[in-house]
Amino acid sequence: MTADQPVISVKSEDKFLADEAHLMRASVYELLGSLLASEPEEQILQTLRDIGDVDTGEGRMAMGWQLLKQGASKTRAELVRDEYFALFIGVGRGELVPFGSWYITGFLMEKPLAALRGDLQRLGIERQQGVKESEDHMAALCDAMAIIIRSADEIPLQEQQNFFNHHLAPWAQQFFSDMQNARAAHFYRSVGFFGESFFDFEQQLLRMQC
Amino acid sequence: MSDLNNKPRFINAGRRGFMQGAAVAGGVAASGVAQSAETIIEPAQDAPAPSKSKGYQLTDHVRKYYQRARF
Repeated sequence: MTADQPVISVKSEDKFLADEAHLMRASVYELLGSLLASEPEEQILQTLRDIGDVDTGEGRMAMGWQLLKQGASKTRAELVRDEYFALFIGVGRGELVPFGSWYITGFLMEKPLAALRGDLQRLGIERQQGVKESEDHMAALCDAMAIIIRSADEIPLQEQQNFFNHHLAPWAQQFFSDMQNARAAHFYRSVGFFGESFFDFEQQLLRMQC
Repeated sequence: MSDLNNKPRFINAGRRGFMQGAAVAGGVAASGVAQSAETIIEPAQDAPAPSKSKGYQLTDHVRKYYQRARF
């Protein structure tokens, strides 16, 4: 073997399937991060419309996929753009405030944000240049979780659980519940249901795996 | 399904100190892409023996619930 030859480890079937499952988890975090960072483009809506047959008897996550599909089928990109503005930007303020510090303390930019920034720095994760939203925005936290999951070779599962427990678990389900009940929400009601069921499953999954 | 651009928007996707080489190797292994003649395949030293453990069942659940995210 020479130094410039790449090495590929042959994994056990268990390890291969587990890694694949974690990549799927990262994909869901990326999808949620994308839907919350800005209004979805037509391409994303079409992809959601194209979700295959869903057996809603499989549980809440399956119901969430079905609702996303239905929600995307009943809207158009320009309508979702208005909806996103009303929910997250607004005149002065959107109907929802998607920041962890707000949900945990009732104020923006409080101690939870400082703790989060410390953890992100330790993990080598930083805010995208030019982004004004603080790191405790739900979209940023979903982005960070996806990166942590995809960095499993360097970041142990216990770190995933700690990050989730400290920075998402205290408020994620309440946030997605509020989204379902927001007056301006139509398509985003389905995102709210999907997000709430996803984080519920994530909580159970991480508790059992660690 | 179409290829979505769901890459992180608020967070810099490139971690400081992130081992790009390891990421590329892992990606190839995960995608099952055929290896080039120059690639050396080694068994993973820490590969555990297959089992039908709690973790295995969880994996099945994750696959079942999250498979629709394979955009």
